[in-house]
Amino acid sequence: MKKKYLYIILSLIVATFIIYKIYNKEHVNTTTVASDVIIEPKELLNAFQLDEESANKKYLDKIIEIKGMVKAVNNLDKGGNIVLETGDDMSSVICEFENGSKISDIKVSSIVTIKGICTGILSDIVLTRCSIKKS
Amino acid sequence: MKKLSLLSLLIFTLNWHITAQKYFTKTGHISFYSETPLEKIEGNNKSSNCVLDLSSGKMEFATLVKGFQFEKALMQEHFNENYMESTKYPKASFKGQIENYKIFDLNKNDKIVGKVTGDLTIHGITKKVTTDATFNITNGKIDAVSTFNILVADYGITIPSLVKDKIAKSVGINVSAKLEPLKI
Repeated sequence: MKKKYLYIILSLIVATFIIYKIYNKEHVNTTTVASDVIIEPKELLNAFQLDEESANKKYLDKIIEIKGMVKAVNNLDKGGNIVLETGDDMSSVICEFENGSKISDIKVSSIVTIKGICTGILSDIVLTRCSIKKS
Repeated sequence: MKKLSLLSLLIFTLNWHITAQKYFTKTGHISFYSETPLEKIEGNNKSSNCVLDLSSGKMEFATLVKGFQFEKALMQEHFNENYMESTKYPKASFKGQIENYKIFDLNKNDKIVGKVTGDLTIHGITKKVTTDATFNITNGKIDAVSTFNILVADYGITIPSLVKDKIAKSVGINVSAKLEPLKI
């Protein structure tokens, strides 16, 4: 009889733990997770400009690894972004960095490799939760 | 002398052109806020586009739904998959007009409080929205700020009864855009 209660309590603890784990699931860490696509900024922009719908199907939510020239570095109140040159004056690739990322030491015109999650295109393509890939 | 006056005329028209142009940002901050006694949910998007046409007072916003970042990954997943269906509707937008618009004088620092009315499209559904907005003009730049509430049911978003105590029926939306002249 006592054993039965012990099992019930034990399974309740396990269930709570699993629910807690799911509830506190961590965000995708682009530093450690493997890239789905490796592409140049120009090529990515071309795909979106040519056919946004099919580019969305192909790239949304994917981990994009992109190597390009830095056009601008913007430090915002929390986090910031690095803008990559595409050759098109109106459209770039904006790579968003979360709070605590060290992007201030990235220099304009330098070449960087960035990994981020593709969220689509407005005037620019936006990658979120980015990380700098060390070469 | 003639050359000089022609030049000054050119500069004058150029200047006029510059003040009549569009103001915009690619790093507009849009956040939404849902608060119930059980749970506080906040999503932030810092790469929203905003354009203000200074000559007409027309405004446009566009944002990528998948670009909203949440504290918890699970909230972000539910927001995208269950409520906003962001794969089907990747963008949200607003197209509107500042009411009783008088062209902003960007040469002096000023704070202008007004109303903006327009069409808000979320989850593929468009509704008329009117909101108070503040425009702070400092050194030729415009900081546009607005806060308003929307009912999630208006945009065809249904909240399952299981979690109805955790998600507010009316969510607050904050918009903040630091607009700069669009250089062409």
